[in-house]
Amino acid sequence: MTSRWNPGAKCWLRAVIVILVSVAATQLWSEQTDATTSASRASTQTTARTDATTSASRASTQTTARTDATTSASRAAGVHRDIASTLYNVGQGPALRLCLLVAVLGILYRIWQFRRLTRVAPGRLSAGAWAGMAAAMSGHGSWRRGVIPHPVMRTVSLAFHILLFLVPLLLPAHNMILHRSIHASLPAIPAPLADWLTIVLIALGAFFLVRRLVSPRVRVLSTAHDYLILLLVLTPFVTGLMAYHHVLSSPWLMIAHIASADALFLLLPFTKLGHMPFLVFSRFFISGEYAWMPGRRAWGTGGHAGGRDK
Amino acid sequence: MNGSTDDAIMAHRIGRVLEKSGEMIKLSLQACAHCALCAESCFKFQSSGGNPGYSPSYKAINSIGKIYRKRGRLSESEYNAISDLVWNRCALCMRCYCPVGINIPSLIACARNVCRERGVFPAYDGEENS
Repeated sequence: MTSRWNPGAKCWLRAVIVILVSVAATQLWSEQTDATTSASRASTQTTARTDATTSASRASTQTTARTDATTSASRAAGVHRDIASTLYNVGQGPALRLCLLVAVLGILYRIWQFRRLTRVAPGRLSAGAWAGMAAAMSGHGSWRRGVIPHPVMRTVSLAFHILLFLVPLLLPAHNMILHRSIHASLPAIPAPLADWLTIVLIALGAFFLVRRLVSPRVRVLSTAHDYLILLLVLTPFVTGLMAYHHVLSSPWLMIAHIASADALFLLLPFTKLGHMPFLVFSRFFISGEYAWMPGRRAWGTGGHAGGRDK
Repeated sequence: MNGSTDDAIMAHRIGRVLEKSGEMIKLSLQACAHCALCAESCFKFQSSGGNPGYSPSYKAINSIGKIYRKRGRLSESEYNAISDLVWNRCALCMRCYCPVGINIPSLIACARNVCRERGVFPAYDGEENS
């Protein structure tokens, strides 16, 4: 073992650099936003704070009524309300911006890493991929080329991943918040449809969870990381659905919703969620029989027999 | 004294293999979603009657994954188990399909290279097998 080889330390150093740069950039960004849209943000934050405060105070009122309102109890409720309100505002404001920035910078780092680990493979492979694509389009090849062979897993996986992006992006409530804060939004789908799609998504997630627990070939590979990531992915959807249907009238439900979504962005480039950017690199840019696009690159660092890089 | 020098040389050579491909190994292992959808594409998995120990991801994670995590510092019995995975349970036919696009054969090939450096490989000339 060479002493200079220590990938763990390098990785942590990079992560620290990414976070420091993100903090600096977030500060700059928020200052600029303050300068340009201070009026609109102030009104949004006030509304949000009022919402959070109202629901928190409602919860605290109930608590005080039950426990014969004493001074200490109301003081505790006040502190509780303040914490909830602060977390709510930080979670959907600066913390979200920071997490989004870490996600973007992390993905940019992955792109740089991918470019470094691969090289352009001239000619032959690229032509093969074009031929494969042409064959698939003209009906001589199968449209199934390069997709999950198992029909159930193909459908479940595709639906889950599409809904994972579509539901939060096209949700009416999210687009209202987006419009309030940056004066731009995406087209929204009707709320009842979003509601049903969320239920479908949670059901598909539950299918993955059950498959992980039941199927021996998946169970043998599964670690705590896999379960936690799947649960973390489902948390914003479950809490969002619960909040929409007023299942728990606690401000902490929305805080859990926001915090889990923030955590997802933050963890995206550095955990198993990293299969998302990896899939785009490998299936679109690396040439091969399963490529979805006529990629021109090949893994270039292996140099061992058996790899596509030979 | 001599034995420890040999060990040091072996460790250095294993370190070189890992240094060369370390980043690709790490990125691939991180991207593996442990979905086991690669299993069906492996003829060894099919012919074993669906034994989970034959799925390509299992073989890669438990060979090069283990070697990478412990920087090659594994016991004799662990190397023997890895040897069974990469030499007997995989033919490096390169037909395994990964939905995420991980190059599983090159990971197994890396594990084979480490095994070669460690002197753990099948012998076909009448010598004692690993």
